[in-house]
Amino acid sequence: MSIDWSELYRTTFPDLVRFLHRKVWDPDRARDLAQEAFVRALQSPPDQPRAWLFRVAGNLARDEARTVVRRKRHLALLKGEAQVRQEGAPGPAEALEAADRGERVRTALEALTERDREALLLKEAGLSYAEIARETGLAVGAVGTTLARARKRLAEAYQEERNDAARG
Amino acid sequence: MRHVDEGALHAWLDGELDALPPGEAAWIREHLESCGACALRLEEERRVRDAAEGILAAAPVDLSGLPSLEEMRARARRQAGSGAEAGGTRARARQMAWAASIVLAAGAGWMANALFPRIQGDRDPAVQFLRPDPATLVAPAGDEAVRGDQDAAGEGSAAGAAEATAPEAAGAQAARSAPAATAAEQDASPHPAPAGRGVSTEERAVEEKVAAPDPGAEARSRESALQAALESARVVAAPLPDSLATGISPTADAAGARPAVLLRRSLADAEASRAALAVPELPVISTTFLVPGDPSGGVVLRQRLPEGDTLEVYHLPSHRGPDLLPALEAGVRQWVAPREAGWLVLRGRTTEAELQALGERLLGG
Repeated sequence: MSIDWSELYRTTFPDLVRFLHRKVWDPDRARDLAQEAFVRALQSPPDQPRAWLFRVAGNLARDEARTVVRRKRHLALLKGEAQVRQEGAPGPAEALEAADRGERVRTALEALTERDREALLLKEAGLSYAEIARETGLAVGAVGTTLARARKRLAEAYQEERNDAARG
Repeated sequence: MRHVDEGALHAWLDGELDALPPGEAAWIREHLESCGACALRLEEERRVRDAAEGILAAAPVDLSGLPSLEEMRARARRQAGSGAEAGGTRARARQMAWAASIVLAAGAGWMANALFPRIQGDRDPAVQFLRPDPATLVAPAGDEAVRGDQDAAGEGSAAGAAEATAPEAAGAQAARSAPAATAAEQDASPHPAPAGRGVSTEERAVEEKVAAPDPGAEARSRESALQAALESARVVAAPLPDSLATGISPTADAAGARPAVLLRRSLADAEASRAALAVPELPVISTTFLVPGDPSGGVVLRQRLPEGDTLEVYHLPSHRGPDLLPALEAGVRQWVAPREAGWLVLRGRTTEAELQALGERLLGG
């Protein structure tokens, strides 16, 4: 039972970074925590490494939230988003809009309950229903219902955000 | 008529047919072909799902220039202080486990503490360590020890307990409320019931920590414990008795070498050794030598089963078979696996099938 680390890295690490980003909303912290989780796995290889990585990542993010004061980091977000466009330099308006969208997604996500949000983010990260069930404590049969509710709520909340923004 | 519920529709859209109850997927497929309302709802849920995916994608994450696997491997090595990537060394570790336990016990019983921290992820190993009575560190002659243990096993007599003494005999006997009170107090939990107050709180606290290990602190405290063990080994180490060289694989050549040197080599595999002796994923409550000061007598680990009962894991040398262990109590079952270096015996209040599964998990890695 040995782990193919290259495969695990290839298939899981970027998802881990994205997952953490959705929790800490700081691109650098997300990478640091993802690295921390992966390094721990390297040191003590777990059974079911993919699910384990997400669990540890979730714990790290939660610990982080408890100790670090949350600050709005519009500028950091701006810089991070600007790097995403690889074709040509982003115009300032584009970058700003991207940052705003990021903030809206974040706010919309916060409209969900913790469990619904967790299930949704794990699904985005590519975990199966069985893995999501294990990580969230839900019954496998309840994962579909949870995702249905989470997806609807996210869409509603995001729409509300956009409406608010449009109204100015 | 029954229709497809919302959760099932999303499971269907996500392709998670396995998450549905048996036969449900086939029913849904048929139903969708005939029920227009559900087919429409399916499309609606598909839109919801796509919308959510789109929203999440609207908050892109910069995934360029991520740390490489090699960078992280290097960091893992730096932090752990040991070169081994644990994956793949289980087989080797199993072989070294005997060597490690023998060599360590030869010097001082309490060095075993460093090798066998109770529970993975424990941040305060010192609290959990065994503290054997120093008077018991002088190994009784092999035969006497076995006889003493057998007597104790048979009668639970005070004389028998005194003979085999200390932390260890308690191993086999604590189960039966033997008079060996001093030793019994050190063993985490009397079998079969879950432990007394102090221990449960401790264990619960430590078990919680298993969820989010801090390898940095763990490695540091482990290293300092091992370092202390090594220091004392140089001071206290007695020459290895000849008996230890027999029946134990594969470092029989160790008999001539000085214990301190062997310790250094064995300690490098100590982490892996400890892991190799226990059933993975179950907390280890305690580790004791069946015969104090004489590692050739075997090792017993106590671990906690998910249901809360205690599992005993005996690693026995070939000259000390399972028939020499105390009789089984009512309700306790046993599973025995003969091995090259002796025996693996699992005992617990569970089914034989479960014991076999646990044993295979330990052996199979």
